Amino acid sequence: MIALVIRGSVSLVLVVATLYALRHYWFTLNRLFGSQLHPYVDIDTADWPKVTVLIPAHNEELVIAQLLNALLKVNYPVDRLLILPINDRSEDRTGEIINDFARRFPNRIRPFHRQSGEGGKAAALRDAMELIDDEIVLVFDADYVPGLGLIKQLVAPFFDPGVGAVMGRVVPWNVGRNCLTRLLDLERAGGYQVDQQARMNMRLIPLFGGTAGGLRKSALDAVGGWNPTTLTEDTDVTFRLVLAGWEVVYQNRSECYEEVPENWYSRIRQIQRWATGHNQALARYSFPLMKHPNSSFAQRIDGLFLLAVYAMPVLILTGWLLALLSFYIDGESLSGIISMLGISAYTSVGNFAPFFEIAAAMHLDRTRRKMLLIPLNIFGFLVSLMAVTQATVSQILFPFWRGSSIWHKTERSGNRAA
Amino acid sequence: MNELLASTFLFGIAILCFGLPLVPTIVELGKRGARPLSVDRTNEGEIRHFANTFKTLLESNFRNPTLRECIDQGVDLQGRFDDGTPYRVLRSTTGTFEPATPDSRSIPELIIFSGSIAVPAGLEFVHGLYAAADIDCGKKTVVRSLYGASNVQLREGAVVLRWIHVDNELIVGAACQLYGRASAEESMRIGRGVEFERLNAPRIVFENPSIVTPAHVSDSTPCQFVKVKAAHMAGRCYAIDGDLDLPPNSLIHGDFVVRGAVTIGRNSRVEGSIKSQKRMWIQRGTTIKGSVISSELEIESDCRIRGPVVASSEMIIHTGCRLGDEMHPTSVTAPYILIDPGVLAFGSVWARERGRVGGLIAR
Repeated sequence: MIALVIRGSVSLVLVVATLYALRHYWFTLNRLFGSQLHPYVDIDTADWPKVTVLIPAHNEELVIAQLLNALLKVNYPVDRLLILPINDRSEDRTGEIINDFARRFPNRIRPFHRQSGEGGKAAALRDAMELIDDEIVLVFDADYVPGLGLIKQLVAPFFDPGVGAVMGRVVPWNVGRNCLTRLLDLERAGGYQVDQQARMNMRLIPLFGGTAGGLRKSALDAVGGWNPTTLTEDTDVTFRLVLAGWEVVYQNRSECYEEVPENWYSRIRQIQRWATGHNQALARYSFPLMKHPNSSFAQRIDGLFLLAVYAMPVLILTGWLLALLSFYIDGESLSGIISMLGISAYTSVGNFAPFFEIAAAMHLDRTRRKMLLIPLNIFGFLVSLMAVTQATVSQILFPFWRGSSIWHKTERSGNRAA
Repeated sequence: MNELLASTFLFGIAILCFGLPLVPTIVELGKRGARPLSVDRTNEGEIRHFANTFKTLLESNFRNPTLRECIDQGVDLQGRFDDGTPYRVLRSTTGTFEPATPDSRSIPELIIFSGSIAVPAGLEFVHGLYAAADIDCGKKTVVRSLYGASNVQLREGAVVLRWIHVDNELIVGAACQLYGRASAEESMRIGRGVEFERLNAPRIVFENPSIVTPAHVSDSTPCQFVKVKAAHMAGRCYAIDGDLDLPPNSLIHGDFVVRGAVTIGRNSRVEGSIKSQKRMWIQRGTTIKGSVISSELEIESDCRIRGPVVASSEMIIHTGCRLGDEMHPTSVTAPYILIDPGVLAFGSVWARERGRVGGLIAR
């Protein structure tokens, strides 16, 4: 009986994992051979609307000036672009730097010094939204460096009245720091160049990443604004907008540099935060999405896969353990061996799907030498597996433990790209 | 001892088998100075980007005398740029360009015309062309790229392979082919049968302006307010499940997202933007104050649309339509665009795959 339960569980893990692998392959093939959808990137002339750029900044003295300088140079009508840096309870020189810019550019920069209140980016954004009149709101994290044409590119999709949110492509610039940053460079490339664009091409649900992107204020207000009770306010907003009938658009050609974590401790905390937040969104939105009448079948299924993406490491780890257990309990029978072989086969072949995706991204980016680093990704994968599992298990076992829902800011190095 | 040796040997072979494929990885990881993905942060998507780069290249290669001095003094010069590109600066006394070898149709140098010039029919300019004054390119001229500092006329059947930019007016004759970018600082006149990709000018007239019929404006036509069955999304935005079929002379206020097909009856007026997730048919004389977004789009004659017009597959625009206006330049974009003669656009018309004036588009 126990052996039967274990074998059934292993089979279930295999089926789900294989579906994920097939999804990765499908996205990659679409990106390599399918028709690509960039409907708004050609809007280069228009009566551009008023826009506010929000910059949540908590202890960002190392990077905030670079972003403000970049935003002051962008190609957008000066009288229609308001920059609103949010000095969110900073204890370093962030407020001072922002004030200095505001003094020099009083008509373009309006600082918001948030002295108290809840911690976290969503809470800061929620408070800042009350100061905004403009219909289009863009959000940049303080370590981002937008190019000259980025604001127009991110605003252009909002001429479509059905678009609620827009996301650009994030590109790490501190790639050469160490092995971790190089691995994260590969991971980001796969995620954006292939995953997000394929979802756009197939009219699924691209994810609004909460930075290097924008929102329609009236749409956000209509779905309840920023939610400070979640650790991934971006995923939360994405699904609330979709459930309210809004489209989320991904613009692969709207590229923006960011800084990725340079040490494993930061990386683990970052991915644990993402996992916890995603799991919160999974619990909140998976059933409403399944019942949503205006989403296509493909959108619902892919949306569910997207929401459950951080549950997968737990599932795979469980599969490994169950397969081992099955081998020792039921090792002499054929089905016990098949369970073990099934998991081994998936681990050998199925896990290549994300690596195939990364290789395709390198091919599309014409940075083929980076493909040589793909074998190392197995280490990143193993670290993520353990970190995400730990976060998810503690979230399940201790749902009321505040430690699992505290927002940890990602450390900045302040290192500049060459 | 033999067993130990054999074990060691086996172990070594195993390490080699696993480790050897990782050698390129380790070598790559060991390299210093890994660079981020190259993102051109200075690229604003500016249509004049190549033209500006070309002009900068010319100016940087003429130091003594400068390019301006060459043009003002009307000197004849020839030589090679720093990158080895051959060039000629020409001052024509006859007003007509004469190739160095009369039988040759191909001009191997980058040519700079310092005065007004007419180019005989059928010549091929392998490198760029810079015209400091007016230039009239004869029938079936082929140019790789052309910067006109004054007015440029392309006669019937001329081909631009990469880009063309004109500081004043660009006149494109019938059946020309404009690959890449075409831009003018003042205006552009595009003849019948022209195939194009990306056009940009404050005023783009398709075909001769004398036959452009003034766009019908439905402001004076009495429109009746129509209440459509729609769900409120946010602000002034409404969603409609299924198709929307507006009768003639309808007036609707707000932005509409229609999940089915859209038909807007003739002489209607939309005080906002409208989107169809399928096909949209805008009938004669309709005015739309906002943007129009659709999969397939047909705009009948004499319509006026102020905001961006976007179709994700193809778009047909009939005669007498006005897209944008002097105060509100806009973008018209689709993979395939078919425009009838007699259309007036202000801003950009961008056919990602192919655009054509009149006739049919060959896919």
